[in-house]
Amino acid sequence: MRAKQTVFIFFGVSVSLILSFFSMLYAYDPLQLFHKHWHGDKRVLSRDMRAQAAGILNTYDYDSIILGTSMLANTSAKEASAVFGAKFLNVSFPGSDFYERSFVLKYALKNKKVKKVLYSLDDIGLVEGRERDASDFSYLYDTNRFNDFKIYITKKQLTCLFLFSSSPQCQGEVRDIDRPTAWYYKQEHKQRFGGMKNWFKAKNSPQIKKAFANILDVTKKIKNREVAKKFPLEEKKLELKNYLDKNIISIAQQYKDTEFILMLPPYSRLNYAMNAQYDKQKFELYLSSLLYLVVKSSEVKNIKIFAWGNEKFVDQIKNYKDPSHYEYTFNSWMLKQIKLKQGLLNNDNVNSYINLFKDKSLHYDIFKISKSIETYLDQE
Amino acid sequence: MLFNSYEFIFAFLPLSFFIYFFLLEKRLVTGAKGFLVFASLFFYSWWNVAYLPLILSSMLFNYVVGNSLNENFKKVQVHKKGLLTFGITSNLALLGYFKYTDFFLENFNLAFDGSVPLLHLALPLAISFFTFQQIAYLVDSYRGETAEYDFLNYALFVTFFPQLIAGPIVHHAEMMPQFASKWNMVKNYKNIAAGLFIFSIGLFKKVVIADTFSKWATAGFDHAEVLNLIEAWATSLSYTFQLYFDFSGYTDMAIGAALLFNIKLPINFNSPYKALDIQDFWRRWHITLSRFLRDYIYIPLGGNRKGSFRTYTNLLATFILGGIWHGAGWTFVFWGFLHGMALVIHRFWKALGFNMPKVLAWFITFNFINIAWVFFRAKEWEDALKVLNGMFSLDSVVLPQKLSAFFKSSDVVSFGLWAEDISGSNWTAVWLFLGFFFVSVLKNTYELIRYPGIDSKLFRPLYAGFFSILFFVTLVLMTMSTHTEFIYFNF
Repeated sequence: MRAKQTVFIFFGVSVSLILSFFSMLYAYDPLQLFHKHWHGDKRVLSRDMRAQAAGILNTYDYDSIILGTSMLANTSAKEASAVFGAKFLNVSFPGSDFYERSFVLKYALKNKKVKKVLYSLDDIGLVEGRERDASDFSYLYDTNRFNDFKIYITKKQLTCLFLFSSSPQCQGEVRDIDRPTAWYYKQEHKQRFGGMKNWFKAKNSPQIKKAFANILDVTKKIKNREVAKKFPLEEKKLELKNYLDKNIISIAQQYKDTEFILMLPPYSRLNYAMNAQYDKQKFELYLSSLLYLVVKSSEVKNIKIFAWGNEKFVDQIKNYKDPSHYEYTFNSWMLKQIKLKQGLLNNDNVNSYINLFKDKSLHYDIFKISKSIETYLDQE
Repeated sequence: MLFNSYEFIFAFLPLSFFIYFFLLEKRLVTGAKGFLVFASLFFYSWWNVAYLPLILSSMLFNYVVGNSLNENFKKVQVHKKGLLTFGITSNLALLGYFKYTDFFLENFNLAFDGSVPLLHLALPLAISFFTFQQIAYLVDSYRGETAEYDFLNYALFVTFFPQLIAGPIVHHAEMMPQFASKWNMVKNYKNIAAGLFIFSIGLFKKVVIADTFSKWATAGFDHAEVLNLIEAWATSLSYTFQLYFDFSGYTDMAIGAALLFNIKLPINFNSPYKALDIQDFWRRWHITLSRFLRDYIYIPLGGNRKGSFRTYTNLLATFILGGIWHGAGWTFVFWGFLHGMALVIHRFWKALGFNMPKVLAWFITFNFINIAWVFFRAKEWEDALKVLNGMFSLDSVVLPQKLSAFFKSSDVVSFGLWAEDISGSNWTAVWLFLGFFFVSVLKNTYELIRYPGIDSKLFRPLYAGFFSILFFVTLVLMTMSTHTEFIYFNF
């Protein structure tokens, strides 16, 4: 009898502990995976958007999403909703590749009937075809809701749980759900727009340091007639096609009623020119992936490709805080352009777009910029 | 399926338990056994179903050969011996093909400057264990010590999931009477309670202790380029503790899970790091493998019956073969050789009638075992030498900054981050201390439970509460664990 009692006590205590533990995790739920915040400020969101996006998609209403990198982080969901007559959520996360985003995308599409997806075609996917290991967050986007608890079972989160803390380290900071990863209002970014002089002022910024080093290095190599390290180009092109098929096109084919608006973020001409004039294979990959997507968009009717790489503002460095990131007003501008179907590429106009793009990138004067950097650094 | 996985703990084990006893309650004994075989094969196939035909054909083959040996018990000796030799050779050939082909080819290429391509065969899970278990069955059948005429019973003996993957290596004669006993066909709460306690201890050993040490052992052996004195000792000791807690944790879980089904598996560990000599160590470490090596290699070679010299060579040969059984590599052979030599020296020492203070005996034994594990763990000779160089070189001693008040820095001694190259911290020292404490002071699981008997003092609410908290904490920590597989799954 005592043995039987022991078995029942063992299971009784174990089950009680397990239930209490998961109830506490459920109640605490800092990422809002199961419900909106029950305590503290309701606007608090984690900065780790790879995980936080699951919470947003679970608990906020939407019928359209914005999914990109820092290039779309400043796009207002409210504004997009007004422009397109939909209910957008912006779940962009910085530095994300297409593979990582595919988990979020599929989940968002499976969760609700989605009208539109605004998606940025960043170099990280379009040219590099990167597949960052997603095992640390991908389970949040599967059909098993129970395994979502795993994200909370870390030393840090358990400490937060037992203190039921609503501190920024535990739960995150107050962020606007309109664009949770927006950076346009932050002084360290804002101050760098307006021209090279403002880049110089921010010379200690890691992005600026990296940009200066890169520009000087590339111009030096061009002068010395050096060529970038070569790789098997055709092999890589094929690899990228498969990558795009797997992470974007096949998903679009599966959700025919959803409009996939794929946009090439307009990096600065300086960025394109460095590739066109030095890393020529990389430049070719960019164009071949773009061409492939445009051709595909004629077959898969719910895909639309937009690009504005030949616009004048791309040539003006004052619109950029570094060689890639444009001012947030262009996020608004792009929404309107999409609405007006300006910048839409198709089989008829893609070749002329590419020719002009190539021409502009090949004839852009990088040396003028590198010289100004050199002069500034010499004065320093 | 791993014992330390949620699918095993929350789905496979409880479902198997309830269905097995439900069928027994309905007096469907054959059905219950059949179900247990099916469940065990499902458990085995969870990793890779491609291995299933291999284990099934191995079972079928050995069942037929074993049966023939029984049937031919009264026939002429030569025929039986030939059949036994055929059976053993076939088993060894299967094991050799999967486990040693590439090792052989590599050495062939090296010796004869050849370029025979390697086969890169994946090692089927548990092949070393189920092959040895079945060789033992054939020999026992030959000797007339066991007999099995029912394939279902035989399949149960080989596949019973708690012991299938990494032992304990069991004899047919110690398992089948337990499955046949009517007393074992009803739920036994004493066994269930003890099984749960033992399983919880094993799970804790694996998830909390072994997996903690594995971080430092892996960093030291596989990633660090050079190790200073403290890092090298921390690396080797981490592996010494990791291996013990990993394997004994696995065995505890196997014994605990089997107890739920009223089956008592033999113990495999009895506080081996408390051993005072190397012979004592092998009576405490992987006991069922030692038993196999003794009964099926050492004694058939002549054991100690043919004079001192033959005894020493038999010991050496047995342990070299034991080394090879663990893995296809010269480092395993050398590890076996070291242990064989240690046993020879120990026998010689005993024959001379010498004695040693207990503390010194423990110190020498433990350190020998610790050093020998370096060869067992290292993937390459260079890795082993890197660790040993660090352990026995006083060129570089990096002490924690906090100790700078007590020691002077010199050409040899400097202060800095503690055990940096093995991703260590102050916690490494704490864990190593705890490791020593656990293995040399605390009672082991079976002393605690008084297994194979069961101490009825355990059946108290306090113990039940303690073990359920241990179980719960381990389950939570399991989610954070990144090192999940058991070391012995590789052998």
